[in-house]
Amino acid sequence: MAQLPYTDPETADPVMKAVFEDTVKRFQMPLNIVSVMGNAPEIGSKMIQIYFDILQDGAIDWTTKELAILKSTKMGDCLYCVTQHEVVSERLGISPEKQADIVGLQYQVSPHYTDRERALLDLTGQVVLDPEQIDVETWANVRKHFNDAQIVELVATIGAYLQISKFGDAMGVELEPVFHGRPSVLFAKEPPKSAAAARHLEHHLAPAAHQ
Amino acid sequence: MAAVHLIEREEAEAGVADVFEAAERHFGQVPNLVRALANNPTLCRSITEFMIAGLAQAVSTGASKSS
Repeated sequence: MAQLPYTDPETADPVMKAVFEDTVKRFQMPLNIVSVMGNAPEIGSKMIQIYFDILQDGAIDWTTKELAILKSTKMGDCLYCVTQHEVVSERLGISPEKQADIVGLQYQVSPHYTDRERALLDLTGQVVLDPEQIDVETWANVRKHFNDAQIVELVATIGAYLQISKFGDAMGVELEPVFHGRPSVLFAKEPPKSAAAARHLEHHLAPAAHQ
Repeated sequence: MAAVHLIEREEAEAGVADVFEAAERHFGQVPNLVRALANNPTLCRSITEFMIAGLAQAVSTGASKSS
């Protein structure tokens, strides 16, 4: 259960109303996580702007950034984020087969991934696990494929999604009903490790919960 | 050593000049984090504005956020 009330897009203040409109452009619906941010429009609108800046073509195209988002949120065991971005990724052309191969180290040998994408995912994994111990080879590979503006965008994307994962899980943000019963691609490949994610999976996504 | 070049104020794109000014006003100097972010002006702006808003006193006191 969410720790704060979901604010209503219809009655939101003008700042949050604009935020909800931008959310619908990217996710095709207002999201529960944005509704929780609506309890503090000043900070919430600044927080969500970071994600709006990420979820568009920038120094790196949006589709490529989705790979870092899927990888970092899966490693962070965030069922809410993973579910949202499985849907967004597929809309952007990342097949479920490609999504599934992002789990663990499968992407390193998967035919669905390019060397550039593998370099990005190697970096993502190391940022999540231990950002102070990223090895020289990983950085060298990243630099072969990405310039400084792109590296900032990539690492900022990973960091932002670790942040939003913890925000959503701490606030108890629930998946929107439209996702209930949807089979998880990434968590089907590797079950969640945390009790919280396992609970979400059982309560919201497992088909048995909706029979 | 920083993973990316730290942008000096003089070499920063015009689009982030006001972000550098806001960061300096708020933190007393332009933090290296902001200089690293300045390689990507769009995210430099949104992340710096979020940090400044988060440390503002509108919602709760600075003391309670830093303790």
